[in-house]
This record gives sequence, structure tokens and C-alpha cells, in this order.
Amino acid sequence: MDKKKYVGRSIVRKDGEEKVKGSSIYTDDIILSGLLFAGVYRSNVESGKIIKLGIEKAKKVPGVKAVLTYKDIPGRNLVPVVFDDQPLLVEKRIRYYGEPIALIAAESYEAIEEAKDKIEIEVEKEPRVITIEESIKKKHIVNKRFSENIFQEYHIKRGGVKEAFQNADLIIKNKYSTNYQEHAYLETQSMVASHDLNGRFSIFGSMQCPFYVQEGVATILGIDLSRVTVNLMTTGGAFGGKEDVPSIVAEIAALLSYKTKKPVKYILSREEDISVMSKRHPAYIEYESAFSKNGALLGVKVNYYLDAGAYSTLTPIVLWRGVIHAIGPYTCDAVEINGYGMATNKVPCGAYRGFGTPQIIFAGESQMDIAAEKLGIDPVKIREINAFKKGDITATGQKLKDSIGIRDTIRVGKKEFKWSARKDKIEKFNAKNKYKKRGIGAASMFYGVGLGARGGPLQKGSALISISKDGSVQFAVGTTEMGQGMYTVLSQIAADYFGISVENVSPSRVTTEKVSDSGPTVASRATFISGNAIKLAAERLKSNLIKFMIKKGIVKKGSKIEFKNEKIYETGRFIIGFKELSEKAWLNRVKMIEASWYLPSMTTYNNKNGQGDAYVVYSYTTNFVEIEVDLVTYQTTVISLYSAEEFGKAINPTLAEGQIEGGTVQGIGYSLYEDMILEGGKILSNNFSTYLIPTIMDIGELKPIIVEKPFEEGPFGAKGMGEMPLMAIAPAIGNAIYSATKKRLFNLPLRSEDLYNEFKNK
Amino acid sequence: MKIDIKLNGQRKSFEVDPSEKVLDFLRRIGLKGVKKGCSTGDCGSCAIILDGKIVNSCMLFVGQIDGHTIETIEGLGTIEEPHPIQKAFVEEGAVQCGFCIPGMILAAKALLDKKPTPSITDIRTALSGNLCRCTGYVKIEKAVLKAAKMMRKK
Repeated sequence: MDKKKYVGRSIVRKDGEEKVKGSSIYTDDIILSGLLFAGVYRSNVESGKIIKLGIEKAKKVPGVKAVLTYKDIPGRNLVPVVFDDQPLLVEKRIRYYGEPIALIAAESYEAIEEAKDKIEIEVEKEPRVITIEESIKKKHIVNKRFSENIFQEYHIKRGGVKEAFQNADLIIKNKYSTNYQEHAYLETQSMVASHDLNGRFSIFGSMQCPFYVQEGVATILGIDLSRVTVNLMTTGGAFGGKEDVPSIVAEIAALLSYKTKKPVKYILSREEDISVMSKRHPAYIEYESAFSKNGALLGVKVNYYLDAGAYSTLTPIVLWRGVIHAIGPYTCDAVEINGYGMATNKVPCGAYRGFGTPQIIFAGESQMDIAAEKLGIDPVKIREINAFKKGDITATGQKLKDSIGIRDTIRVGKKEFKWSARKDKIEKFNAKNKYKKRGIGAASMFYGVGLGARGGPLQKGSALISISKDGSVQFAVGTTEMGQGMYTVLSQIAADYFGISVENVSPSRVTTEKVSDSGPTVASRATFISGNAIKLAAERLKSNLIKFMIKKGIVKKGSKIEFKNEKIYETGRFIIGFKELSEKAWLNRVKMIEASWYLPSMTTYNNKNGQGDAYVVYSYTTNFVEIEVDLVTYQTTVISLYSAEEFGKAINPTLAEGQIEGGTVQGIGYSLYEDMILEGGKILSNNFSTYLIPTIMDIGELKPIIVEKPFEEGPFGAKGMGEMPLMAIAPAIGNAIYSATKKRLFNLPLRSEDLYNEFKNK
Repeated sequence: MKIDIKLNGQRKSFEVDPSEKVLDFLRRIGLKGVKKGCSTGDCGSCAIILDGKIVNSCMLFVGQIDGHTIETIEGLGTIEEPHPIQKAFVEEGAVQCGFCIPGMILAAKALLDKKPTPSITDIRTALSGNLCRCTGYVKIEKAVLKAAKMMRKK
């Protein structure tokens, strides 16, 4: 075994120093000679037909270098994702407010605005579908290709559902709804495209998935993938919001660059970004649960509808994750889950931290508390009664074998939070205070790590590692750094495999030129997939070095060789320093570069019957929250929030805590503050004055609790965790509001006005 | 018009269009640590210190800063010796994507220059105009407390 020197230690970030100095280069910081700016002329109706489009006057505006429509696209007019139904530019039919119609490249933003004013358009308005209900009723068909307004549906059925409900002591049936959530990454979507005379395109930008962007640009230009290089710049937050839509941003910049023969920069304003980029799907959920009188969950029936917007984009996968996790981390032998991704004439929704699951967790975990109260069982106790243990079966019939931490998160979190003592304290507080009421709530969840069965061919990862003659190591991977700390975590993993100092390990900037398509940086998969890819490549390099040492007679064949403390040991005896060995190997022309190909274990899920292993492994979280409700303003304030999370092994605990704290606060925003207001399909809350995300004043006391249960297949036992912290905050807060006020809110966000109405209507 | 300003400790003159936003002006002259997050004065990514006070540079015109003193992130610390606030942010793990960090650090500096021993409420109030979507603010708050300690020792 290697002496684990860095894994498990909170070393400082590799990119920390450049970031505090303000010297990291984000996409908008790029300066190129002859650089043009891009702008987009967009639709101002939700649904309609373009009758006439005139761009000639716009072309004549001084400083304008190009005005393009779909007719100027040399390749396919397409944003490739899953079903390939979304055009980059409207040809005839407008399907959402803000859909791109024409592209402008100019020397200044003033010229772009003037050109937009000079574009002449005539649109014939058509009927529109705004709500999920209208979509189900087929008020209008958004896209004829999907004749029922359904982009995708899933059906999971297991066990005797009818019997379970017949035999139940308690049946709880409720409807829930959730609104959009905007990612609100501080850096808006940004791309620069440039090309050389040989027709090779370079893209520099802010993104999660360089290989998606590469495909998008090659598709729109009709050129080979190998002629497009995508380079990751410092990325100012993503959270799912830079999974699929950066392809749109890059296609726009690339098309304008192709036509003008100049580099083009496309930076979205905050208003444009919130209005037309992806968001978390609004949802409508019918959730029916059956319990025995001792609190066992006997059966669940769920109808889950997502408001997908005008194009399918990632909805088929987002919906799938939601459906798979609909029951929560509980054993339940009778389940019927139906999921529908519905088309509406609104901005297409996509990936957002949790990926179709926070909505359904809100419903499921609210149901759990309603049952607990009716049965006279403590809310934490009812979760303990039903939580997964080894050998339990999930809704898809997957037998859980390894690294099942849900019970640990409940136990440890409950203790740290002092659940029972707090209950007493709150009762005293509430007895004393007339206008301020406190409450506590809990919520549990599980999370399938990585892409899972629906990820298909994307379930893979590559790493390229080279050792220099001075003994320093450089690695490249295909997943991205967007702030979460991947460069640092993977450096720690690499340092420990070679037994060298992390100072001597350098991550390469991510580019499509160094490694092969490694899938997207989503689904909390970077540590697991790229960490394992690094392990494989490091093992090959170490094997090269060991063979060399055997050949040179430095060590004996078959003896135990260890790489640690920057040295090589043979059966515990010091042989040579890593630096010295590297130099010797270089002089002797030993292969000092290796690429790897990591494939996670196969999943067996079958989409026909909704049964099989959906994900390789799951991570687990239980949240505990105390809130205070003001009965004058009906505002809810978070007092303290403890989050106990189990994700295998924490490679860097401080970075993991950062994920928990940041995700928790996004969850507080989703629960209480973030409310998207629309007029028809037009988003009105399109800046930070109207779409309110939490500030430092809104966080209360946050406590991340890391519970470790290493997973054998993970690098050093790690699973994945980036998304979990956000996902089960809303039901915990909703349950706490109930505990404080005896009022249950069924819609997200948990609005003050809704709570006020609950009191008023009584 | 011509403006004279004290920029990161140095007296400088610029020929400017007075109606340009200070944010765009500073970025144009190469101070790229000033970030554009919203342009509506809500996020604090473009925050600078103007005569000792934290302000959003997207809400100011260049004509308004004539004769004033401006500090940006580029004026803090040196290459070898970062400012204690910068050090504390790295050590405490207060940085993730980094986009809000220049503004956040300057807001912390404006506070600590005036109040070497701030309370938690002081810190939260001083940073309340700076949005961060990554960190949840917990480690940022810890970093400011640590920086205050480091600065008092100096």
C-alpha cells in the first residue's frame, strides 16, 4: 500500500492564489487582435410563424461586420443533445420567447444594439402552451414531432401496488409543484471562437463539457470534429447551467467567426443569460404513499411531470434521474412511478445540480413527515425505520451491496444537531414568543453517482499523464474545473499514486486536444471517473519504471516495490529517489507518458420494464434544520442547518465542505427566496434585483458533517458528492415550517405569501 | 475629458469619455480583476474601493472619479507577498470559482481598514452586497476573521 500522503488532507487549492489576486483568466478577459463582439436578435413571442425577416438595413450599420440567419449555416442548423430537435436559429416556427433568430457580429456593443433595432420582422402569432396542465391537455402542439407534447416518458413498476394500498393503515395523497431555479453562476455564459487559415477552429470558454461544445461547433459548421479544439478557460461557476447550453453559445461565436474570418467573443449580459439559458425544470407531482401503523412504507404511486420548455435538450435524462430516485433512500416493495417530460412554449430547461431530483425529493420527504405526524412517530424515527440497509432493493430492483451510508447520516446528524434537545428548547421558545415561532425539520435522500444506465456511451473517462526528467508529473483529463476543486483533488490522487509531493503535480488546462472524449463533467462524476483514469495511467507509468529498474538490476523481479515519500522502496528498503529515477529513466528512453481508459462497472437497467441496476453506487445525505417564522411578515429565517453526507471517502475535506456549504445555500435559495416570475413565457425576473439569491445575511449557522464509508471501486474509496448538498434542503425547511406553524406548504419556493394565506384561510 | 486619479497607490491621468462606466474603463486599461457579473449594482463582482469605501464600479461613470482614490484587487499585496486577506482566503478554502473573490476581498479590506476587530454582524453587513453562488459564505466569513487577526498582529 502507498502511504497516503495527500488523500484525506485539506491542502489548499491549486488555483487559489491566482484567484485571490484576480489574475485568473476568464473568457471575457481574453484579448485578441481584430476581436469582434457577438449579439443575438431574439423572438418576442412565445409561439408563431416568421412571415418576413429583413436584415439588409441592419447589415449597413457602421461597425457591423455580419448579420446572419439560418440560411448562412454551412452545416446542420442544430444544437445536438439527445433527440436533436432544437435548431440554433429559427427557420420558420418560433417556439419560445427569446429564441435566436439572427446573429450579429460588430466592433462594438452599441453597433449590435443599433443593428437589432434595424432588423425588420413580421410574425404571425400562434396558440401557445404555458403550463404543464395546458401541455397535458394539448391546448396546442409545441412541436409536431412530439404529437402528445411528451418528449419522454418512463414507467417503473414493481410489486403488488394495489394490494399494498389495500392493506395499508394510512394512505397519504398530495399534489406538489415547484418553480424554476436559475443557476446564477456569477460569470455569465461566455465563449470566444477563432479560426486559422487552414479551417481549424479554436474555442475558448466557460463550460462543463468540452466534448459537447466540440460536437456543437462541428455540427453547425459542417466540419470534422478533429478540426475543432475546445479549450476550457477559468470557469466562473456552472452548477449544471454550463452542461448543454455552452454548445449554443459556442455555435453562435463560431458561426460568426466563420463568416467574418475574425475572432468573435460572445458574452451574455445577465438579463439575456437568465432569460434564455437553461434552468431547473418546474414540476408538478402527484404523490401517494401507503404506510403501516408502525411506520413502514408499504407502497408509493407517483405521477411526475416536468415542464421541459420548447425543446427536449436534456429532459430525457433529467426526468430519468428523478424517476429513479422518486421513492427516496427507503425500502419499499410496491412502487409505480410514471414520469413525463412535457413540452411548453417556454425557454428549454436543462441540467441543474440534482438533475430532476430535488423536485421529487421535496414531495417524497414532505410525505414522510405527514405520515410521521399522523402515525405519532418522530420524523427522524420514521426515516430510520425505512432507510436502506445492505441487501435492500431499490425501486428498480437493484440490490444494494456496498457503501450504504444513509443510516449513518441519520444517526450522526441527529446526534450532532441534538434533535431531541432542540425539540424541547423550541417548545419553550414557542411558548414564550407570540410572533416568532421556531421549528425543526429533517430530510433524507440518496444519489446515484455518475451517469448511470441512461448515460450509455458517455460512461467513460480518459487521462494522459507524463513524467518529466526532473520527476515532476503533469496530467490531463477530459472533465473540467469549474470552481469545485477538481484540479486539486485529482492532483492529490496523482501525488499519492506516485508517492510524490503534490507541489510536483500539475494539472493541464482542459482541452479536447489532450484526451479523448471522456463524457461530460456532470452527475458528480469527475472525482470518480477521472480519479480512476488517473489511477490506471499512473499504474502503467509505475510499471514502466519498475520494469526499467528490474532491467538495470536496481531491483529484483517479483519483489515488493513501493512509491512513497518521493522515494522508491524495495520490500521496505530505500532504493532510489523518484527524481533520480525519473532522470535515469529519461536518459534510457523509458516511456514516460501513458494514456488510460476507464470504464465504470456496467449497469443493467432495462428501459422497457424499468428494472435493473440504475447506477453503480449511491451517495447519501440527511439534513437537519432549525428555522424561525415571523408571524407578522410570514418570513422564514434559517437558524441552523446541519448536513450529514456520505460519499465514500473525502479526498479533500475542506473542498468537500465547500461543496456542502455552497450547495446548502443554493438549497436555501431554492426553498425560500428564488422565485421566477413570468408573464406568459417571458421571464420578468431576469436580474439580481428581481431574482433573489441568498446573501451572507441569509445563511444562519451551517454545519457540514462528512460521514465516510469507502467504496471499493472509487479512487481511494471516493464516490461523488457535488450535487447532493442542494437536493434535500427544501423539504427539510418545509417540514420545519410545519413544525413551527402547523401549516404545510406544497409549492416551491415556500413563499411568505402562501404561508400568510394558510393562516388567513383558517 | 482628462481625469486625475490615484489608482492602486499611483497618481495617473487618463483622457476619457466621461460617460463610460468605471467598470468598463478599468477593464479596458487592463485591470481584469474587476469582474462584470450583472451591470445593475446587485452582485458586487465589480466592487472597488473608492476613497476607502466599497462601491460597485458598474454604477459609476468615469467622470465621477476625477480627483478620487481607487483601489482594485491588483493593488493588493505583491507577487511574493499577498495581502493577509488574500492569504486567509486561500488558507480557509474560501475560494471556489473565484469570480466574486476580487470584489469580496475588497469589501473585506474596506471593512478591516476601518474596523480591525469586527464582529460577525460587522462582517456579514460589510459583505452583504457581494453575491457568491459557490461557497455558501461560511469559509469566506472565517477567512475575514482570520485576516483580521493576521492584520492586527502586523
